[in-house]
Amino acid sequence: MKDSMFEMVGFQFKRILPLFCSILILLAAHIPYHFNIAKYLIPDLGILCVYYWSTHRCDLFGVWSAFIFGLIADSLSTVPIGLNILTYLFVYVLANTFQNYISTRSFATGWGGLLLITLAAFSIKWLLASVYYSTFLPLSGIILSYSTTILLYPFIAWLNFMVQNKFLNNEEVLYEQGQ
Amino acid sequence: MKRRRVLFIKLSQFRVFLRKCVTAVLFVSALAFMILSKADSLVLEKASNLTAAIFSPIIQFMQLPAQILYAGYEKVRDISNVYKQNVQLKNENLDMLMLKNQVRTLEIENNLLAELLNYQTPPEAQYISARVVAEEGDGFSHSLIAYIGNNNNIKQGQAVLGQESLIGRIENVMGSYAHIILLTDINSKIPVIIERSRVRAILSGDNTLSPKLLFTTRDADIMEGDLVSTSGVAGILPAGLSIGYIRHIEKDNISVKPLTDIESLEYVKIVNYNVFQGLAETKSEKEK
Repeated sequence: MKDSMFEMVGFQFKRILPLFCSILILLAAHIPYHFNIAKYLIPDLGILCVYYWSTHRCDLFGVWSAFIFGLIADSLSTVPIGLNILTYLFVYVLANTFQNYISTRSFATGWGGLLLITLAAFSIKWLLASVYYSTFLPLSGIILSYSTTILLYPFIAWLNFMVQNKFLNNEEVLYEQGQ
Repeated sequence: MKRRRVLFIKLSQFRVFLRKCVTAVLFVSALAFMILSKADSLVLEKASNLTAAIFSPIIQFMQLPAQILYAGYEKVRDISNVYKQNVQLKNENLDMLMLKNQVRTLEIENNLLAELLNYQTPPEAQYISARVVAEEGDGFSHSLIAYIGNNNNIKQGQAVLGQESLIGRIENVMGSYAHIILLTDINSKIPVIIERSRVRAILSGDNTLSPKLLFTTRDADIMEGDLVSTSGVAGILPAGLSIGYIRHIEKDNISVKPLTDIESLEYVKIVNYNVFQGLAETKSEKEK
């Protein structure tokens, strides 16, 4: 009885682990580091987490996870509520569509995929924000933020990979993938 | 193994269809959130504040190790600079003493003139210090989250100062935390005045590090290097709070460089300046 309860708790923990891990990374990105670097350079670590888990364990990081994750990102920011949700859902859908291709290829291919998907996601986000504010947002900061997002992928992927390797390696696929 | 069917569709196909429907509904919900957020929905704002209030303490807790490391680094740096700082402080102290005498003379003169003109002084502002626990800034938004404790005097719209000058205003209060919108954020619009020529304008953020001056005429007397401060129009912010100086003037583009380095703020000061409350008190006193 006790064992089955622990198993149940462990099972549920593993189900929410990708979302939990992503939230922790997102919160860490909000820590003030007091470095004299331009604010433009701050990367969007949320996109990296959504991309990683959507391509590597989409059975544990579903569309609801992307939605909740986006909602948290929106509430910690001054962007209009819904902007990050839409961006993360967009990344999730694209990454999920190419998941079979990306997950079976090399890391470089995955990085290349991220380059394109993030470009599309930043473009959509910029367009939506520009429509919302009725003015085109300056592109310089967004391009720099995009570049640092891409450059930081190996580190974020490594962090997530460690979590996946440690806790989710032998975990069976929970849902039928259905693609 | 026999496959289950739901209304002549295979169960797996039904699941895929359902998942696509859920995804579509979530996309539509996110769009609806954006539209509601444009309309200043109170429910949405409360939900967002609640989420931020849950996660802000976690960020504060997560920064502890970084804070300890940074404090250690600061201590070592301070020790190595102590002699140089001492000489600098002594020189500054001499200057300050001279300035103090001048200020005292001016204060007396000012009081006399105010009495002669029967001038009513505006209500005095209260300052509340708060520690920055989270910062956010990229091409889409520039904001901070500060820990304010159980202070009930902090309200939406109040001015926030950095080391030397205005850095933004309170966007909303979430329990013991306040969301501060920086003056570089695209949502920030502050009534300002050019100190030298007394030209009024609106300082508007555009998500770059140099906010822009709006609503000025082409022949307005504005020069590079002019100091910009709050005008006090609208009654939310006190007049005369320094903001920055004119950095660059182009045809339709006047950019301002903030005096405070907003990229490395540890503490901020929140200004409680309730001019409307002050006016109401004056009115009730007159009625009595």
